[in-house]
Amino acid sequence: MSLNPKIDQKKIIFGYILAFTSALGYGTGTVLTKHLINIFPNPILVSGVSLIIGTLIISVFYLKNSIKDLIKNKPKKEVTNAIFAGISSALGVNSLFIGLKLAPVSVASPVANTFPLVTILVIKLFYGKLEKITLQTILGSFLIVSGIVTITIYTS
Amino acid sequence: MSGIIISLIASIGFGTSSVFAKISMLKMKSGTTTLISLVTSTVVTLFASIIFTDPIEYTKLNMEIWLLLFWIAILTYFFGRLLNYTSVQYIGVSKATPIIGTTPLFASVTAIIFMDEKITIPILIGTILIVLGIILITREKTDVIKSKN
Repeated sequence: MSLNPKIDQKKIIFGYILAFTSALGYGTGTVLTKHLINIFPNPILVSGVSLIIGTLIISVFYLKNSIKDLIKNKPKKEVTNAIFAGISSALGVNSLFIGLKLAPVSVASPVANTFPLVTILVIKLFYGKLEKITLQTILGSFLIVSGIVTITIYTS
Repeated sequence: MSGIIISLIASIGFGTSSVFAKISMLKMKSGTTTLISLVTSTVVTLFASIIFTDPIEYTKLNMEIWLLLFWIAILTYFFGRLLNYTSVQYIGVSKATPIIGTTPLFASVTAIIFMDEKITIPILIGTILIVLGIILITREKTDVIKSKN
């Protein structure tokens, strides 16, 4: 905990702005992906090639600092977890594409969008020390997931 | 049934990704975690594409498709994943992930603005539920996470 509450408050607001900007990025990216898949109906290839481009773009900005970070901090467990983050994310995207082929969009998409509840469950069950999860956070997540499920069922 | 199970696996994949990222950022910067996770995702997805895609498909990529792929990469990985992980570092995974989960709402709004899709009652009800959820989460006191940035 920081000693300066004003700096803390700024960091929290900045964190929320980043989270909303990220959701906006994912959201507009999804619309473009849907548009592209209408022209070029191969979602896994689209995902693979866009990942290569994304990796190259992030490398331009972060490769030098990442190498410094790895040399300075010598993280081992943390690198393994970053690798798992990448595997989970790829598993998520590719399973969703396969799920969409096997089930109607109105079923597959809402099921996949329950992921914030999975996050809370995983923290609660396996990483209790990582973060405190309150009833308010759980209720808020339920409301958000209910809203998303409502939107995805009726727009798909 | 198999479609639902596979979609549930997708949910588990998306849901655990930020938790792993959060643990990795205890000692690394968000840029490093994003880069390592992107390299891994690329390897896994290219492996999947070898199994599920005919190599001839790669030759069908024209200039228009490359341009769209470039913008998708910028939006999804530069703005999406990098800022997702950075926000996890600032406000924690349990608060950042539900907000990232509002992505379909932003997709609907974008489609309404740019693709002439119509606002329907389910979209309005869903939006109200999401806004209430966001109010509940953001009004709660947040412990500031020690940041590597």
